[in-house]
Amino acid sequence: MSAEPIDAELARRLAALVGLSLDAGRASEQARLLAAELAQVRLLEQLDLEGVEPACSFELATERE
Amino acid sequence: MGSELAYLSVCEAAELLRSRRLSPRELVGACLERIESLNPRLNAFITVTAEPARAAAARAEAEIHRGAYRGPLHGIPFALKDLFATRGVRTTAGSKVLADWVPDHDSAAGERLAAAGAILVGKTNTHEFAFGATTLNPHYGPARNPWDPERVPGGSSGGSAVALAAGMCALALGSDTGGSIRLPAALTGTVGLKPTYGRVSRFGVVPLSWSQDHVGPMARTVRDAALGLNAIAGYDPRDPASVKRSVPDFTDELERGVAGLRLGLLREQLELPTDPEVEAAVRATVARLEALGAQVKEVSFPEHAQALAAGSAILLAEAASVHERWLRERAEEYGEDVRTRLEQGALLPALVYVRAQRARRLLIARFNRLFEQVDVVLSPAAPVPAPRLDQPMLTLDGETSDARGVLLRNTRLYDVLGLPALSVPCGVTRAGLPIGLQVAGRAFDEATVLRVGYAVEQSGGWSARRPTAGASPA
Repeated sequence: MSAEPIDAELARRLAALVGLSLDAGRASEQARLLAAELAQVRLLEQLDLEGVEPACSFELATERE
Repeated sequence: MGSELAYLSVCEAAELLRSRRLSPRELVGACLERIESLNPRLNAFITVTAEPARAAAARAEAEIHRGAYRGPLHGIPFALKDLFATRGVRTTAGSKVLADWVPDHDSAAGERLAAAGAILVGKTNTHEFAFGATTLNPHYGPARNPWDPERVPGGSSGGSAVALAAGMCALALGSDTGGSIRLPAALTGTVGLKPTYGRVSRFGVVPLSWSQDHVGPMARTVRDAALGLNAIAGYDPRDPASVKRSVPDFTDELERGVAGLRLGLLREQLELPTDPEVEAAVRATVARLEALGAQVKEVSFPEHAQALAAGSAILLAEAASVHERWLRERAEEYGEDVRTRLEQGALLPALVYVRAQRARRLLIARFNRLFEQVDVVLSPAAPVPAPRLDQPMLTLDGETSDARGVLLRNTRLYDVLGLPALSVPCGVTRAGLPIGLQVAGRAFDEATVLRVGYAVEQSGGWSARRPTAGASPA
């Protein structure tokens, strides 16, 4: 995952790409939250996911049998 | 008399109803009286279905009198989290967005309870769209904890837990995506079971995170929760994740005891900051189970932090997708906390979501290996007792964190893994607040989870306590 800093303008533009409008305050808050979330999911880079396909809801239950 | 009736367990009430020593009208009437008296203070219900409930009670009475007794839920008053669709009855999901939605269908689980003869008394308060841990609802007001009305009941199924703890119904349903059944159960001294993913149909329940949403029973006793699961479990073609698998009678093994069972204490959850009174209650309960013949050992799941990270990313992304259109068109109608989290999910890169789902598959396989060593895994259901209504941040061991993250820290794991997990009362703080023990088990082995929960309940007696602060009629 890129370590590029996330600022309010980037958050605002990302939101606009998916049709959301963020004012300055919300954009600033989303920049902070996105950075925190990306830092947290970076933990997943410690797992060796080579050859592992994503789980999906349709099979989550049955593959436990 | 009203409160004595309203606090009958499902089993106790069923025996009285079956033998016609109690009528469904009396029982439903007692619950409706409690709701009328206590709901203005506790705000457990968004909608009360008093008249339909009275009519259904009269029908149930007639059926029982002519010998058409349907079983232990016949005539039992129950509540549905207002996330469950109810035909002809407003279903808000705790939101302004759905404030006027009157569905033309019932949820599968609600339908099954009704088919078993249970009687809906109302729709309970929830964190908006089930997306939160407190049931501080900006549109319908906060649900309040009957043990101390200045404290939250937990969430998101907070209203269902309050209704049970305050004797407003005998059984309730909740949904659990990060702990929303077990957390409010723990904070209100009630019992909440999140079944295995696929065990209970999610049809007709407003989704939050498709791959982590679970529907389950909430009750005042473990046996009642088992009876609730008996009624709602089973294949439903309307839910693509529903599993074709036989459904046992979940009460069958309750009394087998814990002698010989292998119980694992989950190291990673116990090592995280935990309120000392919660930890002491959990350890005392585990010692009691050991004295009853269980074998106890510590087990480790080193990928615990990764599992929580994966769960959070999946939840955010799926919730944003569920709400994509409304978020674009009606963002101002959401409460501030939920809107912020939905926007957060909308900005998350696809790569992160896929990585989380890949990690999840690996984590499920790794966690399942623990069941070679133990039969169930134990931990505190919540690391803290119920926070105050005005306490958005919690401090534990000198570390201050967002209350939501702390409250759901021990429960979220089992939504990621899809495994069955129960919260059962196991103690009380000096301030009189309930403490819950979490019991998690193998996929589709709810029977063993309930069996351990029953042993906790029988050996501790905590489920018999009743709140006084907020649950006495004014």
